[in-house]
Amino acid sequence: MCLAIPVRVVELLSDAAALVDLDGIRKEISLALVDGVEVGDYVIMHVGYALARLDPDEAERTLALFAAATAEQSP
Amino acid sequence: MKYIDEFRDGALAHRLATAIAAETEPGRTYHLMEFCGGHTHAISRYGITDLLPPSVRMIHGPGCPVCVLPIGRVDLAIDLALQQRVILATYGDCLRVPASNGLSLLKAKARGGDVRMVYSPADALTLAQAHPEREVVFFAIGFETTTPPTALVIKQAARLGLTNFSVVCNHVLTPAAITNILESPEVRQLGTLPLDDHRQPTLRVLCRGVPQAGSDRGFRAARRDAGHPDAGAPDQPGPRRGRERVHPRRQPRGQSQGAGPGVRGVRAAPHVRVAWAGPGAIQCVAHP
Repeated sequence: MCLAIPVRVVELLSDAAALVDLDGIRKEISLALVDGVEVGDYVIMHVGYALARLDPDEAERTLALFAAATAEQSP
Repeated sequence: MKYIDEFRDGALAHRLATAIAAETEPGRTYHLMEFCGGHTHAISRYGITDLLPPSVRMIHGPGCPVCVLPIGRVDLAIDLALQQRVILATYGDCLRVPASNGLSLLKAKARGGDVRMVYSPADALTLAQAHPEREVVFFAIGFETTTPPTALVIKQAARLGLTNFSVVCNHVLTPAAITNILESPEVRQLGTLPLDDHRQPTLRVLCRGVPQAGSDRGFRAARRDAGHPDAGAPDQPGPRRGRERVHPRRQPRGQSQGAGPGVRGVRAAPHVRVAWAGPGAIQCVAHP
């Protein structure tokens, strides 16, 4: 129950639902808790509900932090 | 997968581990508590404990929603399944939790109780729609993140006019639990860890890291009251025996408090004391 995993939205359905893909497994989930999701977006899925969109800017910032933290060891 | 694979880069992880080891002060030990069962899962699955230097120790806490569930709640669920003969729907995590008299929900199922494992609260709602002749009770559990979906199906059931769907709410908020831990004598002895070169009290640092937590004001209230667990706050009534219909008694108002994605009309119960199986009674104060 505690797990939340990133999935890709492949189709928008009626009643704030969506078909999502996780490495080939497709499942219908609810988008009732997030706004403005489009096909191709990644969302964090938890107990059958999208809780948040994966934020590309946030991901980039984190990766930049990783890069800075490890810069001294890079060849 | 974009933004997934980049975070599963083994070489990068090794470089980060080396960077962490270089940052540690000789002769000092570091205790870091991850808060979420999802984090604990990732730490175990990807062997992060072994990547960290010996002086950095991960502490798994403060307990997942299932393992802090008081035994009486599981007894109640078993009673609903075996005596009240309802369809009892819950997450798989709850099925093996030991209850009184050597029972569990799984054993109750073996004894003829109609216990259904569901992945989502929406599945429990579907059960209620498919079995209008039966009472369906969703045994809801989880921290802030898991609460909005439960709130949504309660509202959905009301909208659909379902009269055979009920929820036993075992959701709890986490800020009061982390405050309890931070204010314990053992943790106070450990001292604080500066982040970003700003030496701040541990509480501030950690509060910022608590996912989907309430505002600072809520934290301060929780912290203040943590030291005075009996200060004018009534005990939370235990879960009601029998069943309570999903229709709200009063007009919904406001946003959810302390939850991640908010659900209109759903608020945290103010001033309740919640029993956690590990730390015991914890004062939870939701700001108005």
